[in-house]
Amino acid sequence: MLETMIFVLFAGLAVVAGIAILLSTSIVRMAYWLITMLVAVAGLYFLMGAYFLGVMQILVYVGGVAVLLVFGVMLTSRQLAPTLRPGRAEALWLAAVAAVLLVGLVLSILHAHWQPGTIVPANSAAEIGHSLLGEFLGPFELVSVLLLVAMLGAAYLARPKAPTAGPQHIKETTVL
Amino acid sequence: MLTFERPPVEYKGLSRTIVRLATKWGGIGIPLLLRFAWGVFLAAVVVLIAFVWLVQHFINPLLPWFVRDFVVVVGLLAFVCIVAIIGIWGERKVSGRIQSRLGPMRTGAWHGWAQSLADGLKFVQKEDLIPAAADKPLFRLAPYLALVPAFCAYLAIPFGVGWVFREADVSLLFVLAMLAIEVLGVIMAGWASNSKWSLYGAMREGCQLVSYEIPMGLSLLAAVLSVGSLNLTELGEAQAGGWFAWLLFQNPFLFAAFFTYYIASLASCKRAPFDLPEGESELVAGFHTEYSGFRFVMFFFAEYAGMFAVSALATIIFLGGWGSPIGGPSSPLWFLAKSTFLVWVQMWVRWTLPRIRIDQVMHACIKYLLPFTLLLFIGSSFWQLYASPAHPLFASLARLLPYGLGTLGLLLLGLYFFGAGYGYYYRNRLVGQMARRHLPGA
Repeated sequence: MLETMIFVLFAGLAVVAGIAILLSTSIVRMAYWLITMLVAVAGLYFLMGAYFLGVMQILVYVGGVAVLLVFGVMLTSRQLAPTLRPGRAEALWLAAVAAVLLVGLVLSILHAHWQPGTIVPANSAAEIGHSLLGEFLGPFELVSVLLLVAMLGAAYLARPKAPTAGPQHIKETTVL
Repeated sequence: MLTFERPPVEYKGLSRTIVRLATKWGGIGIPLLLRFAWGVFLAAVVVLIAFVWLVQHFINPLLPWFVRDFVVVVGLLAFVCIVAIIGIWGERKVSGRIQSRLGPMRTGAWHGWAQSLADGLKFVQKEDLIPAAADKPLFRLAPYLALVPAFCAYLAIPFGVGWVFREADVSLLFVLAMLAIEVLGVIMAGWASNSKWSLYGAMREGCQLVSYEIPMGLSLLAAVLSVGSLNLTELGEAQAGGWFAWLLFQNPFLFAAFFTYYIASLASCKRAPFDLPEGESELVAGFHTEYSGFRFVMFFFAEYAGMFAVSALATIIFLGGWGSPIGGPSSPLWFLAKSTFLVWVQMWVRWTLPRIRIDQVMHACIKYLLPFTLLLFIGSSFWQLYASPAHPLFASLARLLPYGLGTLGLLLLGLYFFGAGYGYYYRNRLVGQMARRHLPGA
């Protein structure tokens, strides 16, 4: 009973926040709704006894990704911030894609064989570690290569564009 | 003849009662307490020990869980408030003494002990300003987003064995996650204020977070690796057995990791030399420039709660937690004493070092601290690898090393106490005659 109530609380919060992301027009508001949704999903993880996963969700997404997102948005000017309104053709395409995704999601939910079970808290950190470095070592290493490539790409894009003349460049460092 | 009379200050209602009680009874009572200071101190320690014993043997096991939960949450809330109130007063006294001033001296008659309470009263009465151009919902929400996670961190911090709101396998990560959310509140405040000073403060906080968070986590990870648990209670219990059993002295990498963690934790609490998000001399007050009244107080409380939380983490993971350094029973009081010492060191550092620039912060954290902590992490892993099926030579080295490092730690502590004693002995020369003559008992 209590579990159902907490589930409804967190799931409802996640749904409301998800809808609010779509409806809000300011990017920063969107980012904060996104954070709310991520925290609500972390709450669901906690409810299922996956403490490690829930904490990692907060630590990585809320503490890392969301802060970077908000930080990036803050660097853009508030006056020049685009009002996020899709055009008519864009809206059509988006609706089509969203409809396909929705149908797929609903179908997969309907066809899944749901079995009620009890919540068993696991020693999740150790198990996740073992399976990452055992069973899923290949995908794990591939993901790290992907991240390395992404990082290299970012560093390449952010490199100084024109060749600069030594010491003069250092003085131009922006001091926030 | 022109005479100047100080206009009488009119206090009304509750503030009048409190000010009267503070000045009158503080003025009579506190010198009286001071006369018997050692007796009062010993009595307080005895009372605290009795309280600890009572909670451990009767209140904790006998109460039903919901009553216990309620009591513990209220107690933790009170603890956070007390930490903030004493911390703010302590910070002002410490800064005063370091700068040859007295700090608050008037309120409450004895060394301005009621200054924080008086400030709190003042803040409650202040007008609650919200700038017209601010993003109002976010502006209102931000102080809560800063204070509530800082409080939530205490839900997982054990003060002793069994002295924790909830045991969790991942309590260390939980505390770190909560401290990371606190940053979002700061950034939200800076953005929502819609003022250039606040925005600069928030951007600096974001920059700082991406620089310090990874070195901080990595230096803790080196310690986690050698115990093999993310549970703070287990981490603390692994170091039972006095000074030389502390994780800090177990291998050279952990010894260095303690200091890298401490540096990164200074940045996480926005303390000098990393207090750029506030930067009073550049940004007015940084991210909370536009805040007034109680919302401002909430940011202050969040900062002091965060300071104690990171010190508590350092205590549990590196300094033996609630274990006694000299042998004898472990107690939450040891934990409080060690954490308070670390908080005091944070204040000491803040009023000693100048602030560095944001590019210097990022340079220091990403280019030097991060590789260094990576090195510590790898070194600690190899140490673990060689320690378990140890070569006899390595085993004897590993057995002797804690004593060597422990002696180094004792030397450092002795140096600290020598410095403090030297300063106290030559207090006239160091503080200056004027300040000295105005101290009570001069």
